[in-house]
Amino acid sequence: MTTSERLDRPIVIVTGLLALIGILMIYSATHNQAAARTSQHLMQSGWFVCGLIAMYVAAKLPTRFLQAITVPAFILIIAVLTFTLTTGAVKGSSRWLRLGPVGIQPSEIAKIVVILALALYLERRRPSVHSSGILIGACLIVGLPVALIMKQPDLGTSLVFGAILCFMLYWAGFGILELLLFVSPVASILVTVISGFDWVVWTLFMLSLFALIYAARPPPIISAILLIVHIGVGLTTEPLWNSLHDYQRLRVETFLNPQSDTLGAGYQIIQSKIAIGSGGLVGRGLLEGSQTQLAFLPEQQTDFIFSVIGEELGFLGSVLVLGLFYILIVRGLHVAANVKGRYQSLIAAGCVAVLTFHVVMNVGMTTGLLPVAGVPLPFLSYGGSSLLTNMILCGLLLNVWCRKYEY
Amino acid sequence: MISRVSISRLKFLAAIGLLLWAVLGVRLAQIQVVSRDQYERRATDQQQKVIAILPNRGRIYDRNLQALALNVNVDSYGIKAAQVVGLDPAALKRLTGRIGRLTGQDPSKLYGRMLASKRGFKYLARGVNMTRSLEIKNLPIFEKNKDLFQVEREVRRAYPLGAVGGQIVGFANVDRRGIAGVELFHNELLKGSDGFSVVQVDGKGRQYAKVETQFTPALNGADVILTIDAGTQAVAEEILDATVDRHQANGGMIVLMQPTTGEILAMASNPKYDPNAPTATSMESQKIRPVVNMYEPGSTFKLVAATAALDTRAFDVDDVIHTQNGVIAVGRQVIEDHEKFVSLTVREVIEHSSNVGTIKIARALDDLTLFNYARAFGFGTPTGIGLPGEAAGVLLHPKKWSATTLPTMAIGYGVSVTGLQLANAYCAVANGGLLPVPRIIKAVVMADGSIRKTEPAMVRRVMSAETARTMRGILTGVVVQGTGKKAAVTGYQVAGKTGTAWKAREDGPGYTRNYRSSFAGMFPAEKPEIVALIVIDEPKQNGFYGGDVAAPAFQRLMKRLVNQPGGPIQSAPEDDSKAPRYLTHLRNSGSSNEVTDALYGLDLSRTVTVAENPDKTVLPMRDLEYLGSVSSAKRGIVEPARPFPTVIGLSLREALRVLAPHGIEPDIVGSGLVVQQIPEPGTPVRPGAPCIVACRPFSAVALQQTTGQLD
Repeated sequence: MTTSERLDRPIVIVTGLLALIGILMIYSATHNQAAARTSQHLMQSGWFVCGLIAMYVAAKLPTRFLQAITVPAFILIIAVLTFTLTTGAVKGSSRWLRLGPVGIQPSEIAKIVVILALALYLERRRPSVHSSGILIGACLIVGLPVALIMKQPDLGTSLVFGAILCFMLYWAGFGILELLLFVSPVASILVTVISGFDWVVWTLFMLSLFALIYAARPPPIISAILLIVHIGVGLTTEPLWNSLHDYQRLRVETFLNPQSDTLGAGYQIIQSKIAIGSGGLVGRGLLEGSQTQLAFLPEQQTDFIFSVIGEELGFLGSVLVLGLFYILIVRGLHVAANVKGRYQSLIAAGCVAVLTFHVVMNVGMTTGLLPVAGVPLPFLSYGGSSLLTNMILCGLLLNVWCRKYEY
Repeated sequence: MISRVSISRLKFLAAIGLLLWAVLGVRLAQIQVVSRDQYERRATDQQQKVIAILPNRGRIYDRNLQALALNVNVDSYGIKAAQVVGLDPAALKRLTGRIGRLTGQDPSKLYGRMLASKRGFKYLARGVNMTRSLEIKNLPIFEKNKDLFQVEREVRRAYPLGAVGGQIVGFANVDRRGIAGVELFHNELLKGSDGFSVVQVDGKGRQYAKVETQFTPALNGADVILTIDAGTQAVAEEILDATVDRHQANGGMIVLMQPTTGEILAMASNPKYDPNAPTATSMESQKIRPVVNMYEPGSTFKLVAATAALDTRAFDVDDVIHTQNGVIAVGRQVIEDHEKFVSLTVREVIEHSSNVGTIKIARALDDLTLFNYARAFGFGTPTGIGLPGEAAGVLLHPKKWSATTLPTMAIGYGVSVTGLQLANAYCAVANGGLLPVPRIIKAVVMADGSIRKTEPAMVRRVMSAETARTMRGILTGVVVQGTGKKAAVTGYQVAGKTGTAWKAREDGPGYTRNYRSSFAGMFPAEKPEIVALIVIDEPKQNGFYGGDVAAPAFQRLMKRLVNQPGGPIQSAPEDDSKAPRYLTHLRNSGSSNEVTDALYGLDLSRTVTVAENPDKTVLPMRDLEYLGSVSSAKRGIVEPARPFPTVIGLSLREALRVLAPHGIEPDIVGSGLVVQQIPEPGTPVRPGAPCIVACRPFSAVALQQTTGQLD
């Protein structure tokens, strides 16, 4: 039982660099805005300092302590999520918890707790299609907070939990084909809606499902359930879809194809693309991006901070930021693969899942590849809870790396 | 957890990660490198906005620079959406009642609009002039409900003299485009050209001046100065309207020209038309009748045959014509004179307007001679006056004539003329035989201040100076002893020719039993300063002959013009003691607003409050809205209200001197003499309270005083 005292340098440096770039870009996006926003880069700096401390503390916590607090923390976060849901709303949705002068998003903290809980649960359990009890348990651990968060409503954060679940199940030994079977009902709904209830597409989808079942060989009961579910989806989605109100359908359509709504979600994507595109190869220079400075994207410093980077730092700056993320994620994967303990490895996998999902979703969204789901860019987007959570996740990565020889 | 399984999973995940990053990188390259120009253009497009800067439309003036068309500031009152929700209906009704009383709108309609504003912004009253607007703003009930309203200032076209010269001036619509009259014909001159500036727009649509500003100023329209004299025009219209009334006629027209210059001094059309309310009257009333309408002139056209006969020396004035006791056959028709004579001299033929005599004179000439003289007088050809819809008239070439064309044309049938053509033809006689080019534009003042004047020009010599003198002599005889006796003006020699023509049927060949009575005259006869044509359409009462209908109107018109200081007639009467001079009487009567207002057909309260665009006025026009707020700010100070001193009739400078000791700083509208006060003189006002004195130019007031005489 040896513990390396040194914290992993690449992780610390990359985290710090990303957060500093974030503060700079927040300053650029807000410095000539209304007075209430001009201090946001200072706020973010404050959170960064808190984050550094939190990261250090997280890196130093003993494994046994982490395991001991997991269950109470899980119960606490469920209570807090329920509490936030029932108490008043801030900014139209009740995702904030007011603690004196600062607001905290419990859904952010919940990511850490869920990773810890799943790691604890899966440490001695190996998920597979033949052990549906383990799957149900894992789904409950994730599903409980997700149900509360989706009610807030916060679709983006809910999706993150799905990513954590899939990634950690896979890392815990769940086969890739089994995983595909596992998510196939969701895929089924998406395919039917996107294809516009085309029977040919649906038949092809069902054929590939049969192939999947044949390859993964789940128990007959599971196969039967899956088939019933898929046929059910195929039969009910269209009437269900038609029974939706126009505005509900519009909302789904806008989510899937934001360009169709040029004044709402589409407006943000168009403005974001214009900002990134007009940055060109080397960018317009810090504080020089006219799209940013003229505030064509409201609240650009939060979810759309990447468009500020794109406009002011250009293609090179964007690639640099993506590169830093790549280093962090590869380093995280390296940690996950090289720590001895299964518990530590699962924690690392969860952290990597969160970071990867956020980066891909956010950059995909700002460049118009993916729907607008309200996912912030880790370390860069303005927001204390997000920065703090991501830095704690890095702290956990550091923590397990320090204990790479522990079983 | 290093095992073979986890290594393969690590490789798989690393591959997926690499793939995802590659997708993002390619996407970024596509947006930022490949399509960069496109996005940059879109950025520039949405960050810039081109704002049009509207020019001031040129103004229209009469020859004495009395404004006929100008731009005024007006206020539009809108109700902000949903602001009336939850207000007491009774209070709203009171509010709309008070506003409706001031704007002349139906209060129940206003109330309906108030309620409709729940569903979105609604205009309550548009184009409210500054005086009314100030009165609305001073209503205590308005003050209380101020937040309901959105008041916008706009620039509107206004015609301060209203119906005076209404058809000539025409009107421009809200898009500042000329629709009728000079406004239409000279739209290109008047409209100016838009300027623009490029401003920076932010995401919320707020505009900022750009540092590297692209700015092109608007080019204001040119001011057009007409040859019309508003005073003369007003007199002509008044007399035309009175004549039309007296004879229960359908309408009529008057043309007044300066024969030596071809300048048109007045051109009146009845029914009348006010360009401030272009849709209030029929399209017919919009017509500039002397320019647009063609008609068969009747006896006034005998001028052509007589001139041809004398100028070609085919006849001498004293040659005797056998007039066959007033009966002559023309084809299968028989034409009679209304006074029967056995024989008449050429002079007497015109004096008594003998159809038989004129036909016999014309028959002595050949077709082409009569045609050539008619064409030389300008008939059958548009004068090119520069007004919309000018008619050419109809003058057939002799090749197309029948056997009866020559005799009928000689007495003014089978030929169509416009009033302007006929008046201009008489100008040739008055002007020693030279046909002038009729003009309505005296000068154009370009935006840069340069002035383009039009110069008098002559079309051609129609007859020798001697023939012209002879013709004036004959036409003088018409008034002295012929059909036009009622045109005589004591103390002056007057020349002219009457005309009484049957109106052609509109639904086919032949003639109705309705008449068109006319008189074409010149004043004074020897050296005419003015040529007038008066045409009255279908007189039904108190006579129908030109000599009984149009000739007396000519007399009244000349009497009035003689008395107009600075008016078109300068000649002294031949016999001073008999001359109708009313100036002494005028001095005793003083000025009366009612008389002048009635004369102009004006609602003074509406017209005197017009103010030019601030950038163009001579007198600074202070912002009334601002003044209003000053008054409410000062409300805390208790100052005794004193009666508003009467300053009407004083010059502006004198008025300000009178008001200053009372602490009253009035808002000034117009310049010259004070003609109105708001509030009414004698009303208690506190020092600093908003009030208005409205002024008119000295010339305009003086002009009203002289024309205010009703004979």
